[in-house]
Amino acid sequence: MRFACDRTTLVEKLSILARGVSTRSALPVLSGILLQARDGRLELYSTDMELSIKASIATNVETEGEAVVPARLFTDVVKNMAADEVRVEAGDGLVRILAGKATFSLNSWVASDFPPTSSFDMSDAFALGIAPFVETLDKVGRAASRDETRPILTGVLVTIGAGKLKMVATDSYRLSVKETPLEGGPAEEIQAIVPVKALSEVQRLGAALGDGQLRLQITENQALFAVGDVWIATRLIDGQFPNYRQLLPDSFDHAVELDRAELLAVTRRISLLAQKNAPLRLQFSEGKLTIRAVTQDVGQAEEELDAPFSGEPFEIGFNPLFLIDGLEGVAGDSATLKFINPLRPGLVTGADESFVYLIMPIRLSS
Amino acid sequence: MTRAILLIDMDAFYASVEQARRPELAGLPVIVGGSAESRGVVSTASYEARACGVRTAMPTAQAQRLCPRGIFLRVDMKAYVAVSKQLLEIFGRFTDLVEPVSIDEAFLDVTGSRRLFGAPEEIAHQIQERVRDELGLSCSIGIGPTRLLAKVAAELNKPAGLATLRHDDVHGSLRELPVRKLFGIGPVTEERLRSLGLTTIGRLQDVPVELLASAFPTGSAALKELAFGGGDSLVRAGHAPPKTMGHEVTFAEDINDPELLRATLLDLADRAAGDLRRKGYACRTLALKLRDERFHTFGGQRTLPDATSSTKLIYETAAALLGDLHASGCRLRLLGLTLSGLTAEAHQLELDDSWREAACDEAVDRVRAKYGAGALRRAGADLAPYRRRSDPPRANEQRSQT
Repeated sequence: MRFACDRTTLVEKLSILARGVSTRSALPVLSGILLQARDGRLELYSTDMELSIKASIATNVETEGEAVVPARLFTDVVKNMAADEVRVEAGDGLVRILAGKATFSLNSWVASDFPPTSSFDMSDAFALGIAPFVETLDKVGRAASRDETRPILTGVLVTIGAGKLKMVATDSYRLSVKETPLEGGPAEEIQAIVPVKALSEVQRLGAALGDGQLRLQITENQALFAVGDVWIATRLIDGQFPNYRQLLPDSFDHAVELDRAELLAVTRRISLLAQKNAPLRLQFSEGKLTIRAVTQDVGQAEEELDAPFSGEPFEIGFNPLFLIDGLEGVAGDSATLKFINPLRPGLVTGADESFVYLIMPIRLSS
Repeated sequence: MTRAILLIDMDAFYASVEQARRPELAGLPVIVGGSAESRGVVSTASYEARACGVRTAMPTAQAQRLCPRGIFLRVDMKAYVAVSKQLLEIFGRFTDLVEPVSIDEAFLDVTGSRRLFGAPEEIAHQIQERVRDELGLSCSIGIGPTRLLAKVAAELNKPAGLATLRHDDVHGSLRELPVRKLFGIGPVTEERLRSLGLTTIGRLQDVPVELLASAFPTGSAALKELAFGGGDSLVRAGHAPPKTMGHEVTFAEDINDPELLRATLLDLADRAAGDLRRKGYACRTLALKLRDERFHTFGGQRTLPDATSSTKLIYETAAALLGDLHASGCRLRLLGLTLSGLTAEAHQLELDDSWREAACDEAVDRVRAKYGAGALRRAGADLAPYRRRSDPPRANEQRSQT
């Protein structure tokens, strides 16, 4: 294999590929990136066996071939070269990187050691707008669990039909649902539980591109995304997603509409004193909401807001980060908090009712 | 500046309170504890009773044999708590840094009180005087630059004593004392130290840390610190956060019926979880202690994925653990449950039905707060063999908080 390529473009693609590299695998070759040079293109692959990433660069291929380079070191070497163009040559278990007068030789793996990645065959894909996809994911993705002990909760339930996109995520403490109108989409509705890790990559790539379209294909056990000249393949999560409709209470006893920006600012401010798992305490009484936080051995904070509340005063506790996530997800000038009692879920919504965010409280000591 | 820390330890507290409120008992051997019939144990013995050989935690029946003329009284916790509050009020006149350790013990940091009240010894004298004149009780006070030295000093001169240990004493008189005088070294550690020939604090100071580490891989540094007078952790105003909460019960008759043991466990879990919630804690780890008829004590523990204060979850976890530990089906004389890994008020509820349990626990707590602990009981716990509706306070049960 022998090719020459623009250094900046290569570095940019290598840093995307790095997210698919597995550094803790029992298979050392997974800490590498597979380079394939043919037909005037360089194709790069990385995989952790669940998530695979592919990128493609048009380049000057002198000799076709392939090799697996150590991802971290190869990227660092290319990044640190002075010249604008780098040449890469592979043979005899070595990969040489040449730029200007510098020469590096790195030990490499043979391509046949690299596990077969997804075929990235997207012949049945459909297109959808990047903007609605990224916006929906931004609101919902953060409610997905990062705790691998309950795999199903590390996924986002994605439903796509003609004209609509819906995502649902829950980490068992909160539930986030967002429905967004869509131009295009498949004729027949499809549904899958997609790992939030892969979706975050799509979100990152999409946000960098801003506008345009991405292509998506969902098969029985994998989802494929094409965003610009990067492809992402992920296995789907098997199993039954929690019946989220059942988690949403039919009705609430209190609904308090507040200025969203003000509430968010107060919440962020008071949260500074809700450290070490201390809850944020929302105390409602006639005409006002007092937000308090106390951290043992550190200090306490409280701030009062005017609030259209009437009825029996009550206090409810939340994980401050959960509440902030919800308030950030709501679009518009106002946010409405709905409650039943201090042990039942609270709801955060805005004028746009297509976004629903449910949070379980933290039990406060009496 | 060297700190001046006082440890005030009430002498024979329960018995002394009884003697103070019933002057006719003065000078008599008073023994407070559970009844012999229910195999209760001695909580506190007055010094007159101790002269006969009666000790704390000794079965009451044995105390009766040792001290046939003894006045045996049941525990009146309400009265002792009231006196304890009065004590804290007296201590508070000398410093606002009062940290109660237990019902009859408190640390005071009087570093900043010296200009007002004089040397630490002078302050200690004044406190002893006030406690004697106002409450008719005596206390022993230890003074030291660290909590540990104050605590060791308090033990030197009981009862009604006053002793000071200074930094210099760490290399002098402290060296001669047995290692068990160090707060934090229990019987098990003491025995392991003895097997290394380390019987005195001086020997513990001198032993190379590598040798100590071979016997105590994780605790050698802490042991060394203790031997040199302990760390300089501060006295904090108010109660220090508890590290554990628990209850244990000695049965009137040894039992091995799994159903009765589970009923007992439900009662223990119910009360320990109630303590947790009342004090605003959740726990992650729970430990069971079992003692069989041959006085062999054993146990085990479980750690939960998330902190909880749910009676149901604590009971179910404990019951599963009991099933494993009691596989032999041997007869037990004691069962205890201790909750640890305590975290303050961070019981994050989940989006499932667990709120129903929390609501149930909360309702039970409210009823008990209003009408007393006995107002409401778990039906399953009524089977517990030591439960008798007519029984007054159950002195053979021990509540623990460390």
